[in-house]
Amino acid sequence: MLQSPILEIQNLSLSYDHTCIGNDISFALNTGEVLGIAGESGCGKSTLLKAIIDPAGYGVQISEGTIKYKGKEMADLSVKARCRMRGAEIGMVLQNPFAAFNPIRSYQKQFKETLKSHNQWRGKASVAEILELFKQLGLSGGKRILSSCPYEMSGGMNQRISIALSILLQPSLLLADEPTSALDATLQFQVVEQLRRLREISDISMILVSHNLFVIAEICDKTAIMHEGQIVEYGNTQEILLNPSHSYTRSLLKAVPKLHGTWLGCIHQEVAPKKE
Amino acid sequence: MSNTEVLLEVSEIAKRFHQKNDVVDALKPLSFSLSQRENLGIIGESGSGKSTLLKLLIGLISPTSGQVKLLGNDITGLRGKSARDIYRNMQMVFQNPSGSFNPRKKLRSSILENMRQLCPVSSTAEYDYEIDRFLEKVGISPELADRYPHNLSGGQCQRIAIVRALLVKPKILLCDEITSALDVIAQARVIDLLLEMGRELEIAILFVTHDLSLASNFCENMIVLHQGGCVEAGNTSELICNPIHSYTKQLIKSFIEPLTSLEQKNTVLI
Amino acid sequence: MQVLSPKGAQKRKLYLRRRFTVLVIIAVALLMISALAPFIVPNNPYYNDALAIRSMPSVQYPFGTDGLGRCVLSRVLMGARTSICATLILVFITFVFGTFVGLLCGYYGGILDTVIMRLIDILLSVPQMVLTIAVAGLGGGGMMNAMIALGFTSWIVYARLAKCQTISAKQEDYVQAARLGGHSGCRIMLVHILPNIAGSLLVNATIQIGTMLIGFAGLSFLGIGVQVPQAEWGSMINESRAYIQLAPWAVLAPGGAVVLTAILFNYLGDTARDLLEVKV
Repeated sequence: MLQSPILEIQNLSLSYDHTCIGNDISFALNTGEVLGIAGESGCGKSTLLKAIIDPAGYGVQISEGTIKYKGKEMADLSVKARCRMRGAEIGMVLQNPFAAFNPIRSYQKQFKETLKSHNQWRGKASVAEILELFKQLGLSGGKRILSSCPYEMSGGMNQRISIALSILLQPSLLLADEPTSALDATLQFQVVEQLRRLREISDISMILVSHNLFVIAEICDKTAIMHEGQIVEYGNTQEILLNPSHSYTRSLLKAVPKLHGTWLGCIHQEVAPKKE
Repeated sequence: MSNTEVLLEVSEIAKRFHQKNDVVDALKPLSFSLSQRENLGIIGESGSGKSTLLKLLIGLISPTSGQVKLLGNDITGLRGKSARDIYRNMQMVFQNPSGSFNPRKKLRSSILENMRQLCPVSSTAEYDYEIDRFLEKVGISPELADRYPHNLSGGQCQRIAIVRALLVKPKILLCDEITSALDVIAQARVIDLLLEMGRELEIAILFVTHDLSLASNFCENMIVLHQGGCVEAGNTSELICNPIHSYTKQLIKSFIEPLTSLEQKNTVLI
Repeated sequence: MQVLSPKGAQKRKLYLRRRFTVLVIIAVALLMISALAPFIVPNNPYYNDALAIRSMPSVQYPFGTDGLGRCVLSRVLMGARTSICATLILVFITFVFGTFVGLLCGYYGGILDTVIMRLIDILLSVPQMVLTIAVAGLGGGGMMNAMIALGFTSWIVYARLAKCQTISAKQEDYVQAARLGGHSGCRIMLVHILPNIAGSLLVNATIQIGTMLIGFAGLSFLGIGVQVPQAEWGSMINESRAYIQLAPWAVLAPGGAVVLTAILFNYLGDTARDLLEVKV
């Protein structure tokens, strides 16, 4: 039996303060699938995530098209219903690892606050659940983590804990907006590992936005390449990365530095620098 | 190695901070040299001391011990007017593209200000001519320079920051994580620019980054810093193929390169 | 700092500019009224009309009269000169001096900073009003001495704020970049740091206007500020306080003048700060 997609976007056009950011965007995400969206800054990928989770709050206007979550049209939902969905149905991980937390309050207090606001706090039972979640995600020393404050932790650790927080309420969909871009190389690796482990322990669906195709290739089943508000290539990750058909995809691939490579002035060869 | 002039000689430079009852070694004694047209990569994560090192070299902070020699002259701990000679020969580009420009000044004004001070020419027209010529070279139309930093993208700002540094005609360019705040395409453009200008103007580049793969692509030699100390240094290909220290090995291991594994999975030849 | 889209930022900047222009016009009008006060008063502000003590507002006395039969409106207008001009001059001088000291301390630090901060500690160890009264008393009464007395400690708040802002601005990349441009400390402080910290300093200055107005009133009440029979809003309020139930207009008119002036300048400062913050 074919499962209906958890998220369906059809012919979506987005604008931000009357400037068109996204045009004719269409894709579908099945349960348990991970979609990667790659593109440079300003191509509209973050705006797309904002449009999914809370367009009104971010000032994004949907001029055309539909967003359907679990078969229901999102535009039809009331403000309250949307609010309830955030966290419980759709979780989000942000680029800045320190943005998800109040730096001077302990993690335990903040986790408690999140659970309480969704009426799911059950005292010691909840703490035990959180520690179990940490263990599953490979975060050692759970008790020590809970009693620490965000400012004491590194960016990578914070990002891993914010991933844990975002799946605490067991959402069906996780949106990750450039979760590795603000981190050092070794920490990026840890976060990617974290997301991979997350796939192993649950059937959560994910949309991962990044400008680094290699990060996307590690975790995503499908990839969409965005350029100037449009999806220029979409399909199976392996196929796109091994046989890119669009010139922009090729330039994105060439732009990521390889460990055993030499810089060949790659951008000049594929996409000539635009006179801006 | 060809007979190239040694531009920078660093001997046992170190920086120690005293905080309340604590002593923090931001940088442990380090020595190296930089020759003309050499690209040297300094790899390390946050807190490894790499930014401290750059600030010590250029004189923004004074070292606790050690010596820095620029073109044979001792420049350790120079301040004030005498430090200006350092800036004529050594310039720096910072990590945050728009943050390195005064938000209340137009970009052209910021570039001009530095040129006037360190590399003056005869007339205003000549200043404008030089600036426009350089901007064209980096693929930015001159009218963009008449805007404020927040009007331009990160990549554009960073390229203009490089222009500002290079117009002073330094012999050494220090790059402090100049692409960390940029996406891959903007990063690629900036690196292209850096290398092209470096070759043309015959300058030495000291490239600080946390991204080992990026630096390994164009730096002949590398120094790996970890918690303030140098753990490994040497020729880039040697370092990558035969890393000795565990931290270097960890860095190499954490590089995400799935393409090779994807290619191995896929038996179809491209 | 507000994050706005380019169009939003332009709209906001336009709106702020309009608001700023209106407020400046009102402020200038106020200053002109106070300057021309002697020529536009309806009655002699010092003349005691024994037949019209504490009389209600009428055609002859639009704001009524006070306990000594003097026209309240005329006294309010004359008081504007004393109160507003003196306050503005005082705030301006202390603002410039305090900011300058703060910039130097924040940028150079070292011995200069230590000496000045210890001096500030000494000045602040005495309750401000007590110190002000002592200084004013030593110099005898009068407007000039009142200004010196109030200015004695009021520069400190600007110095501390400017020092704090300078220290954080010094860490910014663009200030480091300016150092690498070979510029002198003086230039960096005036061209790079000061314009970027002006916002909060300006707001502070406008808040101080209200505080200074009240400071003058306090000194005048004690007889060491403005001497009677010279008109000054603060002393007018204090004189008429005793019979507020009999002639409320004698208190409300100068009180209203103080409130409205303070609101105007606070709002002006807020708008100026907002205008500086919005980036187009």
